[in-house]
Amino acid sequence: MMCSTRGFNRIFSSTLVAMGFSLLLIGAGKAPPTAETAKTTKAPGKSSAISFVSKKIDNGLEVVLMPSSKVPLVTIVLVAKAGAMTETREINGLTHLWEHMFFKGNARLPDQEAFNRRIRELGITYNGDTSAETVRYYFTMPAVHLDDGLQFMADAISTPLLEQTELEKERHVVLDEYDRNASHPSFDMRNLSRRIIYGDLDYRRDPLGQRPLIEKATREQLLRIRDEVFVPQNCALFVSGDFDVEKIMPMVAKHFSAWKAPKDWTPVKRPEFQPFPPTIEFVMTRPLVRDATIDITFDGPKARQSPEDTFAADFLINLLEHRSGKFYKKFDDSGLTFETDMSYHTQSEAGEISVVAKTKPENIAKVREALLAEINEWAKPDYFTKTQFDDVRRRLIIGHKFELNQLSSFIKSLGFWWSVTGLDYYAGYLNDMQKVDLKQVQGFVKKYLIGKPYVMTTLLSPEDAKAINLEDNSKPLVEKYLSDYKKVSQASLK
Amino acid sequence: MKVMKVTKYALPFFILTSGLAVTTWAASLHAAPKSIVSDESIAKQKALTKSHKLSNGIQVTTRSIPGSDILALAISFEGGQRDIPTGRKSLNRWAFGAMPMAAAGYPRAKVHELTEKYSLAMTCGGGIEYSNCSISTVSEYWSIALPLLTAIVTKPEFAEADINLVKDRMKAQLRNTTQEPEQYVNEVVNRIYYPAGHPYRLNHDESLAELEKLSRTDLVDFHKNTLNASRMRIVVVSSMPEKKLLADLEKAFGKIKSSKAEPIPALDAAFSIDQSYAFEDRDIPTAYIRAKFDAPSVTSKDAVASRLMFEILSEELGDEIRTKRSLSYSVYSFGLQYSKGIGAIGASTSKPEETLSAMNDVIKKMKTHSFSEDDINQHKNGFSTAYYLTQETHASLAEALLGSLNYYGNTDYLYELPRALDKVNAAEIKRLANQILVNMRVGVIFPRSKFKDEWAKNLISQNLAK
Repeated sequence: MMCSTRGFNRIFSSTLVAMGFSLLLIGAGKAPPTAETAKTTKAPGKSSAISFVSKKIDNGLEVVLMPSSKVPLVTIVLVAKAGAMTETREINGLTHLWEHMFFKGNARLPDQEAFNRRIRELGITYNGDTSAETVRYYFTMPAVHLDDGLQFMADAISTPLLEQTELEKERHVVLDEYDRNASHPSFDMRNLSRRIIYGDLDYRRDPLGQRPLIEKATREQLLRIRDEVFVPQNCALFVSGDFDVEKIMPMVAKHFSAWKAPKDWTPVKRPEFQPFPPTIEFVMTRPLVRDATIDITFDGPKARQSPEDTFAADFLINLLEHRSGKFYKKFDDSGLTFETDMSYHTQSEAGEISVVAKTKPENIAKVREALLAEINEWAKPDYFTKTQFDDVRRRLIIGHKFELNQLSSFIKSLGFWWSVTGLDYYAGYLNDMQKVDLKQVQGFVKKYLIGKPYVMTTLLSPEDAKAINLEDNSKPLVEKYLSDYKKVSQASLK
Repeated sequence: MKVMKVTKYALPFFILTSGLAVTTWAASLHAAPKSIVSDESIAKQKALTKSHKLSNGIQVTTRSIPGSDILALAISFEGGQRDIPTGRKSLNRWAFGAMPMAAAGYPRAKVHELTEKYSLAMTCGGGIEYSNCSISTVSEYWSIALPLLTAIVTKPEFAEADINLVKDRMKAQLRNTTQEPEQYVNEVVNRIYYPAGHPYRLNHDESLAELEKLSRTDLVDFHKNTLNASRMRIVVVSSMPEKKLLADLEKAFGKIKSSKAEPIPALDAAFSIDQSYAFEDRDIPTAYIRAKFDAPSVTSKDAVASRLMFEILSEELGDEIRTKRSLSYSVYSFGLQYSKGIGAIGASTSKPEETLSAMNDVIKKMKTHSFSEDDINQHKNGFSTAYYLTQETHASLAEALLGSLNYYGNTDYLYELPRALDKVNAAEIKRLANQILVNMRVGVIFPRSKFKDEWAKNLISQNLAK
């Protein structure tokens, strides 16, 4: 991509997505309820400030608007605070199945064929996605179809049919999606690592879920999910593009106000995760793996509990990516690794910091040792320079300009932030990032990384492992932690 | 972990993969109740676009985005892997990958320092028919960005340490080709679609072997031949004053010499029923299937209509295979338009027999069914959205303009594509389906014990050209 920038792009891309929903029929011809709250928030950051308008309609649905007349398009995003984190073990993966059922018909469009016809009529480019903490649906279409597009989204989220016959059909589609994931050589390694870190609640970080549960999912389970999380109080509607803010709110109210939550609705309770486990390292071999991947994962900050630490994490990532910096020079620029990054996935209820390196199998031992040693250097006063801090601050501002240059994509990211951190966090993000200093970065490294437990995984091929005398020691761990996934793996191969 | 519902739109037909091939465009909604691509809109875009020439003949196109402080500059070089002899084709990718590493006056450390300090996004890439270098920045840093890009383009250093680092990264990428089934199935089918010696053929094993033999001297010679004013075009999308922009570009690129060089003509892949099917045994739970076939080139009179044909085919495959029969999460078709056109259909599925049979049913429908004009108009609507999405960012607009310039010599083709699409009718879609959806080469990845060759061969034999 020609205009790729790091900073904001990286942070946004590390996240995932959403959903939406509702019930009851649309009240045709009713006068629109009035907006009960309205505020305009300006994010700081020199000329890269963004403006969005946030309002609520009377059923509790938050509406976030970002008008721009740059091109005659609108993007409509429906976001729900839902995903693996709002599931129980018994329904793991079914929020994702629900997300698929969104496209399978509603009170106005009886089945997916009718749904697809309407998509074509309105010239919509669309998709949806589910992650651990967010479900999103997004449509981009010509601005002249805004009213129709809002109605289309409202119908889909508020009156889904969730019919058994359609469920039977879509189940196979989702199973194929599952199998595509299972076809990747890193599938077992990711499942095992997750289980070790999150223990019995690992399913709450696994939106893909378990294959046997998808095979047996019922309509009643989907209806329960609908009533628990796809309600207006748990969702938000985002609209960007070429529209008039004053004219759009009556449209939103007209189409979405009949969408109601069940009486006495309350948010899903979410159990706490276990403490991060003691340090563990394992090697897994899988056929078809080519170069080796080393992944060291630490416990990281949770966005709603320690927002200031998330800023330090994001800033540290940018410093490590700086190509004049010691870290980049030592690993990527020297050729020791093909790619080495630190990543932090901003989440509400979890936080993982990972340092991942891809290298030739013969370099595994050297890279492992170097990575662990290097992390201890990050808190030293001369590891990062003032110039690098200044460069990162400038990069964040410029990167944000480029984000805003693609509003149809940016609005989806905004939906993510609403779901995971809240918009107030996001509104202050650029400003807060500008304030991060060496002391804060050092404090973060000491608090989360130096001397802290980690889970280290090394993935390579059996042939390479044999050639460098490295043993696959994951089998006992798979037996201990992954008996259910093992069954899944066998089932998927039938 | 990312779990994304990928609809058939995940592999849209308008993705024209590598380099600067013509990208997204959209249809007019002239005949539809609500029109968004009006004559006024097209006229406005044309008015904001100007064509110029540097003193050495390099064509420069400027597109003004008033009020924007972002700037995107893209340079195309006519020539790609197609133009390089077999056994050396990786040279193109290696050279363009190594160019941004360092240049005269800009050692690697200096390049890093500047790109970090000014947040410059600078890339070069070797394509199939055209290669490119580009930079995106804010206008404030133009005076830093342009000299750096100029040096990278005109005087790359190709230091041994730099080019070996790029080579190692390329080799890692090539080795990993086999790891991702979706990526690898493309190579499986390419083995038979592009036979040995074909100008478009790229194979990861062959590329790895080529890289071992190529040296710095090869890079220097390649660059010398590539830097040719008669084969370069520049597009700048910005709000910069035109006079200053052109003066700066003249100073930067106006002295590049010009010489004639004839491109290698594009070839359709000769079809042989004996080499139309390739299978790769792999213990995975879902089969990956991809079929490839010849399609109209980007400059063909059928180019626009065939885009719509592929869009309709993709919709029909999705409706039949995913929506009605629930056989696949990802089923798609797309067209690639270069001087040679390529079509593809594919799917992942745990029921390959049924899926291949359903693909055949859809192809049969495309060839025999008479779509109504209303159906056709509905399929055109999505192009309107794509048309403006192309114009949303400076970089994507610069890339699309270069695609239009490279293949048509003007930007009108891009801007007026909605009008060309207006004219496509149902009879043309049917004619093109019969013309294009033939002589398929099919690649499959799945466990050997679970797949019968005849399933794929049926699709091939039932769609031979008459």
